[in-house]
Amino acid sequence: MLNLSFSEDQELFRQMVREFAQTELAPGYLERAKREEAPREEFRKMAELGLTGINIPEEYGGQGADYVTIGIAIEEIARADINCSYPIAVGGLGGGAFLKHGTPEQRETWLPKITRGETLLGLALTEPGCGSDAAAMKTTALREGDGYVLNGEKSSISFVNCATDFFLFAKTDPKAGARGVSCFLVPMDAPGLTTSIFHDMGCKPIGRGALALKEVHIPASSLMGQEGRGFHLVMEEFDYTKVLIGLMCLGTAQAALEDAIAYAKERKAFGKPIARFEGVSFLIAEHATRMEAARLLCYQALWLRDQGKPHTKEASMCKWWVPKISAEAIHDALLIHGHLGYSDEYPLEQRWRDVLAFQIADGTAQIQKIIISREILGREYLPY
Amino acid sequence: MPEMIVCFKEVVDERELKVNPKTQELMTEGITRKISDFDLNAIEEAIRIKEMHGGRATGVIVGLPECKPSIKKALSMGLDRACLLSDPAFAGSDTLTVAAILAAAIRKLGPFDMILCGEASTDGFSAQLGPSLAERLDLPQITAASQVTIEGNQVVAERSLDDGIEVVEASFPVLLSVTKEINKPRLATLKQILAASKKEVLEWKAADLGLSTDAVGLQGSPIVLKRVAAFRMERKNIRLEGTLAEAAERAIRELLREGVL
Repeated sequence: MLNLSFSEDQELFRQMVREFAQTELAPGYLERAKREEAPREEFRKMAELGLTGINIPEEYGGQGADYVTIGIAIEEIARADINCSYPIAVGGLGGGAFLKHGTPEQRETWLPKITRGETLLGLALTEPGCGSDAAAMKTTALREGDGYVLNGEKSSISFVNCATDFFLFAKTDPKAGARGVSCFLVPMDAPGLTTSIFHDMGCKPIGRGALALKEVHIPASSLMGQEGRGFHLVMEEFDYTKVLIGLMCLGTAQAALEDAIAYAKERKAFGKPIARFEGVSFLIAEHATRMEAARLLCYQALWLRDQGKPHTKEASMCKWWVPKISAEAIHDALLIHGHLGYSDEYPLEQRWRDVLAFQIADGTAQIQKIIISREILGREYLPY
Repeated sequence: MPEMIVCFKEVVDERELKVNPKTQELMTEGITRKISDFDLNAIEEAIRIKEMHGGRATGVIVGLPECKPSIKKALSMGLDRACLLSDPAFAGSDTLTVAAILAAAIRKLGPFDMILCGEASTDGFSAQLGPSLAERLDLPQITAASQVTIEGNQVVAERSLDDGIEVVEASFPVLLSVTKEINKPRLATLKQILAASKKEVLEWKAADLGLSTDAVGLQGSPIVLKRVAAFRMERKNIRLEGTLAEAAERAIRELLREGVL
């Protein structure tokens, strides 16, 4: 039978995360959002509450959460501060990759550090000339002695301002297309690795930037999984982070819509609250409808993952559509606030700037639609 | 290793309270329910004492069966077990009668060293439950405790008073009511929430406590709550005309007439 309710434990968990997020994160969101510094103190508090190692099994000090529960954490944190929800998504991705592809030694070394918040992983996949088209990757990792030597450039990489280590993707076989891509663990302080920060219009605390790799030597034990399986590894985890991105945007939009609802009830025009004018109330109704549908889509995708069922199509649906409708909801929430909404003293414009990033990050709407089409129509109808 | 009892209560979340503009009565339907804030401090203090000195902490609550999510929250925070005292006959019990119900349950639970309560509840705010319970159980009581230290079987507590801090001590068994300043209640992790499902929750009715249904609820309560309504504040819109001296004289006259001066 269809059951769309969260469990009692999940409801209590949502309540706890909301209490934490609204008390510890929401009040400082706007101030932090304008700076290019990672909110390290807030990340530390999240680690204390077990949020950075939420999907990691208890034996490694994690919380052992299922995917739906991780979605709850992401949505609630993002309602308060979307930038603070990012380590949960990345930590989750890292945790999942270690559990599926890491050696026992790698799991023992890395997973407890992720749960304690000591290790903050970044994901270095995109390059100046390629993103989702991994076959075009230029960065190389060539075998030399008992290790690898990395050369190349990574671009549009999050957490360049605070990551301790990166999952870095490079070609071990430069001629082999996507099948030549391998994944490595590279410490931020590796000799030969230099960073630069981009000055973005939003998500500043996440510290998007570039990595330059010049003769970076890493030991062979830094290889994650098998040589040539790096692209497969990341795509598997992207099916999960795409949904989390949807919930990050949705949480942010929910906060904006709630602000708009409160404002519409208070603000009066012609002697009555503007909420009584259909031009305002119907906007709220329409966005609430879309957001409810988006929420169901996201949690359905996470539920499918929990059941071990395919969810590539649903994950891509979340990724292209939910950031879009979230940005639209925030836009209208801003307009409902009238001239006040345009001020940077209110969080609306900031939320809009932040959410916009996720219409691009982890694959644009266009690539997501290609994936959905492929899943529906078949590989023979791919444009490439 | 102290054996501790923590009394807690479920209340409506005051942040969601709305007032009916016609009747001035509080509209409580559909409002989120939560553990009373000060009781969360009592729970937190028991857990802290347990972490430092060992022992066991049992939460006791008088409430409807629907208060189970609050019980789960208390267990997730770290209480070892809980005891729900729920009976339709308890409906309408005043503070004195709730103290009698709690006292019966605490006696049934067996020997204890400490009872912790919040200083007051965030709904009624009578601050009478702790003292009433101490009297019922013939215990020494320390109210308004803002810091608690355990030394052997002695409790040393700081009491926050209006004009200073008083340090008092008492031997086990003792009842303490704690202030909001004593600690910051913790939030449970997912692992703790999942573990709480395995903790024991006792459920007792009036008969299990040896209480007659006449002695509890509305019948057993000397205080009958007639009505709860929000205070109405309205401006009188009196305009004082004339010179400054005339207006001042009239203002004084009005204030005297209202009994303000």
